[in-house]
Amino acid sequence: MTIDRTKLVDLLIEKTSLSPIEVENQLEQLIERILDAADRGKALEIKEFGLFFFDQEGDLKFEPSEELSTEISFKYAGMKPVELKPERNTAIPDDDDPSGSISATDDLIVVPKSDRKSPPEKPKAPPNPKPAAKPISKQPNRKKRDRSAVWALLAFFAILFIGALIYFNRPMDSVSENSIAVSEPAPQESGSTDSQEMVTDNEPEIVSNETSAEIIEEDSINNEPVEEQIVEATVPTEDQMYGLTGVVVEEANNEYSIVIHSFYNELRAEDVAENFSADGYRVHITARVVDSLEVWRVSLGQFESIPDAQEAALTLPEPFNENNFIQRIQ
Amino acid sequence: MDTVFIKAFKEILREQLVEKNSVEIDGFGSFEVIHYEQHQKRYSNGKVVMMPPKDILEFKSNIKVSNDN
Repeated sequence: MTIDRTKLVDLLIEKTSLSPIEVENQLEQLIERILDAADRGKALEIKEFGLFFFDQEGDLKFEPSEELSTEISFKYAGMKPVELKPERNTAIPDDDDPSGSISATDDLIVVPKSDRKSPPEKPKAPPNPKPAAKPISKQPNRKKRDRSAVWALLAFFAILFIGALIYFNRPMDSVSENSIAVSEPAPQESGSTDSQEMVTDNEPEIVSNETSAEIIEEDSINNEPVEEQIVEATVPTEDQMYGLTGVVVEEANNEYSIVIHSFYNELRAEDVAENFSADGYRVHITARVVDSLEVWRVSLGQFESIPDAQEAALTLPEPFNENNFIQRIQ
Repeated sequence: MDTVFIKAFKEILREQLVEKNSVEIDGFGSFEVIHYEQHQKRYSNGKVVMMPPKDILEFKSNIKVSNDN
């Protein structure tokens, strides 16, 4: 709605109880005083309302007081500019604020009271652009740093995951797919220190598929004699108590044996044991827990002492004469 | 000039402008409240801000003085 001069006069009459002529005269006087003061290079301020002045171009301007501005824009009082991401190109270019200030009152035009020829100056001190520029230079860097940290963390977990997969899967695959022996750390024996060191140095190595295949063929041929040998070995003599070959003597099971294979698969261990048994060796299969995993060790011979076992290990065919270790049978 | 008149003049203009009514005084000028929607603003230093909406009082007048004197 527009309030014209007639309506304004009516409202003034209603408010002041003055006569229409008096109101008209007062209004004219007010306008003349404003123009006169402005014409003399001075600004006329109506307290708690605003300031009238002429700008550099000679146009009559009005600057509302802070109270009036706040009252008019009371719905948005307290709202401040919110900084956005500077990289976005969707920002609207600004051509009316070269100072970089983010004050909400920047759009207001301010004119000095004293000099009508000079350009108007704002009564408030201009804000310092330095604090505004400081966070801008830092924020993009911080964003980049955050992203790189996240990517580095993801890469680290991915590498960890892949490494764990490889670590846990490879030994099992080698047993199931290739049917080969699995190396494991040498066990602690209760013998002398020297013999312990020697035992740990001689760990079993991987046996090729060809060797396994050959042994299996021989095994199929010699199955029946092995069973006969075991049946015949029911009454051992003193000379037959210990040795690399022959039949297993139960009374000598507290002593030592030469470990040549370790398997995660018990059936596979039994197959290999049968092959060696067919060759005339005393063969043991013993279950052990290594690194929280159960393994089945295939060992040869029964020996009264570790040196006896070490000596006998040298007589084994390659590669078992080098890749072995001694353990107590039970 | 009557202070009662000045006070009444201020109050009436304030009331009308707060209600977003424009006031036109013949031979002097017009007061009008202009609403500005929120908008993005980019400063010369590259900083981009979202300016809040606001209502601004604007005064327009045809009165002009010469700069020659």
